[in-house]
Amino acid sequence: MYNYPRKVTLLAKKRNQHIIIPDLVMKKESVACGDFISISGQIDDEILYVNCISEGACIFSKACCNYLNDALYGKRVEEAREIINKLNFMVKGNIDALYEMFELDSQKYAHREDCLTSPIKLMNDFINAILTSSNYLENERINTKENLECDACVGACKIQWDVNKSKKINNQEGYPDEYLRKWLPLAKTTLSNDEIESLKINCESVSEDELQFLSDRTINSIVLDNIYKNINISPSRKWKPAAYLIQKNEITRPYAERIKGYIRDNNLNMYFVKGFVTSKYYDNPSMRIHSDYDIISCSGEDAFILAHALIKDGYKIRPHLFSYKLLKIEGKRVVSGHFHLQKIIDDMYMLEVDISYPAFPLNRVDLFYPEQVDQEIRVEDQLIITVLHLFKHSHVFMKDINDIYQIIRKCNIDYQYLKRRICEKHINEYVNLVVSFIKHNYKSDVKIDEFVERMDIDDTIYKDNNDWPYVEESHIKIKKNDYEKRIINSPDEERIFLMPLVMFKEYVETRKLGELLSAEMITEYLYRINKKGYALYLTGFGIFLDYTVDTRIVNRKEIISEIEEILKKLNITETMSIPYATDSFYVRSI
Amino acid sequence: MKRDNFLTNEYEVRKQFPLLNDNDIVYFDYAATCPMHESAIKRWTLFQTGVGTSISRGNSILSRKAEEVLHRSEDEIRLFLNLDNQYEFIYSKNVTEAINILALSVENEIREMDIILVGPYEHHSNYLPWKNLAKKKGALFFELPINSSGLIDYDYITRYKEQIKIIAVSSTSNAYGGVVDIEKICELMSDTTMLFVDDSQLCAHGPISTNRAISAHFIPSHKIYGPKNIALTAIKAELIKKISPVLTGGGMVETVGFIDTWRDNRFKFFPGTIDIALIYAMAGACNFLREVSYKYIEEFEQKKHDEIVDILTNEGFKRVELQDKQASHVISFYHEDMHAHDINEFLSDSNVIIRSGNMCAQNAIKKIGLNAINRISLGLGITENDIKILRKALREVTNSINV
Repeated sequence: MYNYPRKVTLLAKKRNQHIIIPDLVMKKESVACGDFISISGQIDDEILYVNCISEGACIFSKACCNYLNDALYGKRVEEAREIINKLNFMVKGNIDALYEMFELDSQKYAHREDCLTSPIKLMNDFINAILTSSNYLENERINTKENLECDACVGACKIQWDVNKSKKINNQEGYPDEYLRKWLPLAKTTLSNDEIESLKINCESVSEDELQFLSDRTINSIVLDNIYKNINISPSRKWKPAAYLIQKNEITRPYAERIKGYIRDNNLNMYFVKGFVTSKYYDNPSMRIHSDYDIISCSGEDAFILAHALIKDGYKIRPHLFSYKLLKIEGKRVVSGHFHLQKIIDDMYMLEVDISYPAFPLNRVDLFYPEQVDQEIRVEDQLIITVLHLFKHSHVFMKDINDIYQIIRKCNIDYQYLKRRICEKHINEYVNLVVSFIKHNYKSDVKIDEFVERMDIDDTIYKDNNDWPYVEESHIKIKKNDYEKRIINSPDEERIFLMPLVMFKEYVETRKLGELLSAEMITEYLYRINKKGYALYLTGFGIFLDYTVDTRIVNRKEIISEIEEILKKLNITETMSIPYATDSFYVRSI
Repeated sequence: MKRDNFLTNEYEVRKQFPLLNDNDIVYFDYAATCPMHESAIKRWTLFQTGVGTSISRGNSILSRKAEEVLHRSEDEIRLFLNLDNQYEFIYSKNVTEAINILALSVENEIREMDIILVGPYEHHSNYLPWKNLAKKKGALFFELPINSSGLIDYDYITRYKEQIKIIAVSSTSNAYGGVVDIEKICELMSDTTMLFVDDSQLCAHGPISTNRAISAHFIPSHKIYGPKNIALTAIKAELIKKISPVLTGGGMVETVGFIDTWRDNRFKFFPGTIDIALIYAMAGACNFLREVSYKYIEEFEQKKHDEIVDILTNEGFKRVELQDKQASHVISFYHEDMHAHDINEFLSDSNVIIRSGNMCAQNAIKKIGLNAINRISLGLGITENDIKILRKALREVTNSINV
């Protein structure tokens, strides 16, 4: 190391191993021309527990962060505030005193002032924020059974340590059916002449609320593409978010391709599905925009191995979108899991990876296991997955219907195989409905006709539900119908949401982990340690907490103490800082 | 200074830069600024004693001299840059100001939802003015994407051809020397697209593109061994006709009345007093470079580049390497076990001057998965002795890491 004064060197070398179950996480990048600072903290009984980490940072930044940790961790809130106020005063009005505190020559290191002051400034902001709002872990748990929303994808579970503030709420109101009738037809990949006329009128007079609807349903970019293709007018700046969503595709796709490369190079049994795959069937692949990149992992262990690799590469974990669920499929107990990882690119575009294992979820209580050919999922199974996704949420995504239309038009389909698979999983009604809708509403195509004939598509369900997909009640009714048949043999268990508490630096063999800690095996890659009032989960890349922790019985200090014991038993002295995702946006538009 | 002696007599070259000659420094920060060549210094001094005024100061003998000096200087600069009369010259104090002025001047050419496209490795000065323009006009502000092979995705320009109204790129990136294929952009873009090229990192090291599809070039004097506080925008005459001035005042106005009118062509961009001495000095630097020639500069820098890359590799540093072409005069590197700022402290102790941090190019640095790097940038005046001192200083870094 450079011959800095001893105090700075010693401070910088300190390893901060405080485990925090945070109320708030704050991060800042490119600080002081090249540092990254993350602060997480919790307040229990008026005591502040804080972790300030400066990753890949210079010595001054590390020294200052460690100084703050020592000075503030375990202090009463008011005392912590006094300390940070004193430091802040030095930053603003007496910088020489700050240099002196670190035994640094203020003349020689004048150019490094920001390295010393940035952690203090961020900590000041952090303490102000944590005292006024503990927003990071919110208090709402969303009831997804009412409208059969996907319980994995909707942020259905967050912890509130003050259990009195916890409550369960119903999912928010959707949009009026009028919006669906008006705009969903204009989000098809092919438009009739009438629809083009309708588009001309509607795109000029679109309201802010409608634009929000289009954005929420991720059809704004399809509509914008239709404007460019069919109408000779320049759209107004109202359509900017749609354009940025298209640009997001351009920027994020190479990252997804690199993930695919990693999967292939490491022989992981994982496959991209939906938009990443189906976009190639479009004339302009960029128009098939993604809110995220969907991956199926045939192995839960492989899913966790990829997660670990991505986290090491700077991806963040969305703690309320990491879960598993016990299913009963054909009499057998199956563990089905799901999680999201994200990376923000250029502070503008969120790349989100949505991983499901060990197969694609089917209406909350079943799974569809796709087959592979030449290291890719068969096109027939991609089609089925797209149909299943169409009925996964409480509302329809037009991009799924567009995908199905494109797949049928552009691919050679093994109809026998497809029929068999559809029957196996009893999704005939779904397929009949969507293909009939396509037949009656999309531009005619010989391949569509062939599909209808070869697959014996029965349009009764379409005629009986001729307002689908323009009325959400209709969609939910169809899902419910299917759901009620399935739960006869497959009960809808509560999903278990897991919050990451520790991330291992190296991937650990989970079985050994489980044996060493005498943990209960959920699967060969997931173990559980049951405690009074809570449960800890062990995976090869970290330790997680069950969100259903009863905060009346147990507090965080106990949990942290338990984790410290576990790490001691495992002889793990260094862990990664938890890469909590702190941003939540798909794309920003300038 | 005879050309043939150049490569073998780098110490003689160094003597022509008073800053290097008179100070005990080992200078490797040419991408930030270049030491001023003695001919440029001499010219500036000569102007102060012989002319001392600017153009458009009435019919005085001094003002006429200033006009003469300006025209002669511009001929010299034009000859060096190989730009014909299709391009007119306007001046700012630096390229940052030049780009801001041009971005504001072309405002009326931009409509809502037009695409303003910048390169993937841009300095903030060739990024933020365009971003602000997009915000103001309801246009879209995008970066040229990098594909999964790590190459610039030029086909993007084809995909969105009709929507792209402005492309603003640096021919060579200051962050880590990434080279953008200007000719390819010219080939792919629409006839109605304006292409603005920041040649700051290229002009002292290689010829700029003279493709007439380029609407304007930005050339900073202090990056071609000239004085600071003057930068040249070489802008297509037909574009100047269309756009409005941003800075108004004396010198650029034709009539002041209910409706003010501006002077013709480039003179509407000549507000206030232009420092002719700086342009004269800049031209002197251009003459020096022309005499040395790009061929020799490229060979010289390549040789130094190879030596330094060897040193970095042997000492355990990692280079910032792209799949795209990189200029040899910019060598960016990092060490996994020591932050760029801390590396720089070691080098500073030996009076070795490099740059560390995010290079005023945060997006570019993030693209390579880092927050900070070190940069060695090359130019005339570097000697074998400098390389020796650099090697020693870098070894001290790695020795301290290994302890």
